[in-house]
Amino acid sequence: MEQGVDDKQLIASIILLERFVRDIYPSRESSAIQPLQWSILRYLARMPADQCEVRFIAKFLGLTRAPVTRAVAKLESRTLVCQRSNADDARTKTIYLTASGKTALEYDPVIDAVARVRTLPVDTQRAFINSVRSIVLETGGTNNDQSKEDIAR
Amino acid sequence: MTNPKRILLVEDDAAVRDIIKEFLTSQGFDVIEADNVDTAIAAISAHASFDLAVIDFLLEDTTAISIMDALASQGTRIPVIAISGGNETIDMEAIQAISDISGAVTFLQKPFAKEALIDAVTAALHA
Repeated sequence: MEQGVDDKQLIASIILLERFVRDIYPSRESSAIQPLQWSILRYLARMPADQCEVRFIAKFLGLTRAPVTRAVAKLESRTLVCQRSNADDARTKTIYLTASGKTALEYDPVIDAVARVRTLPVDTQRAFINSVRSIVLETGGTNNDQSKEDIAR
Repeated sequence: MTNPKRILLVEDDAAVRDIIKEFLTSQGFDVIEADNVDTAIAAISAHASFDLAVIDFLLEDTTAISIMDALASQGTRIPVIAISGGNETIDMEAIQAISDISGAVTFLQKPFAKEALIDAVTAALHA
């Protein structure tokens, strides 16, 4: 008969997963690029220029504009992004990755995490991918606004 | 004369689907449309092959994962452009990640410009 999984094992697994993710970002010092800022850099690297505005980034990340605006300002102060007013609407600005921002992305902590998972057998990698996908899709999604606003602070 | 590239378009919002179909058709593509998982899978079974698929990742009450699996089972790797406007329970970053896991080559956040779509289509067909 198939044995169930007890709460203790599930709790332990979630703690390990949380630690794994926390360890991805080695420094929480204010001078370090923070998780939300990394998400914005990744977004800018991937999305078409016409969607590189604060309102689109906020929608993509499921956040309000305020934390995104603050994070973009921080990235701009570190010359990782720059903003230019749009030709057809000066009130809106398009955000671009600078050369420094592109270089920073080469050191994206997620790349290290991928390298760690890559050391696992292929079947285990696939099981990991499918498990993460199922957790997000089948257990209520990711749009917990309050917790995300907390993370974005 | 070469045959036009055939695109499977899956979108449950009729207005959005019509706009995308009209645009892609005007660009010379043969567009086969579907509005849900069942009609999409029927279209995949009925047509010999697709060169590309443009799929709304969040359909009315499900995701497009089974459509992407059906395309993958055709044998040849058909590039998929996932599109989404998100919903209340899952943000777009997560949808993009899940569509990546499911095999999409590109993700476009709705609303997107026609230029962004044609750029994505051109890049996917030449990848």
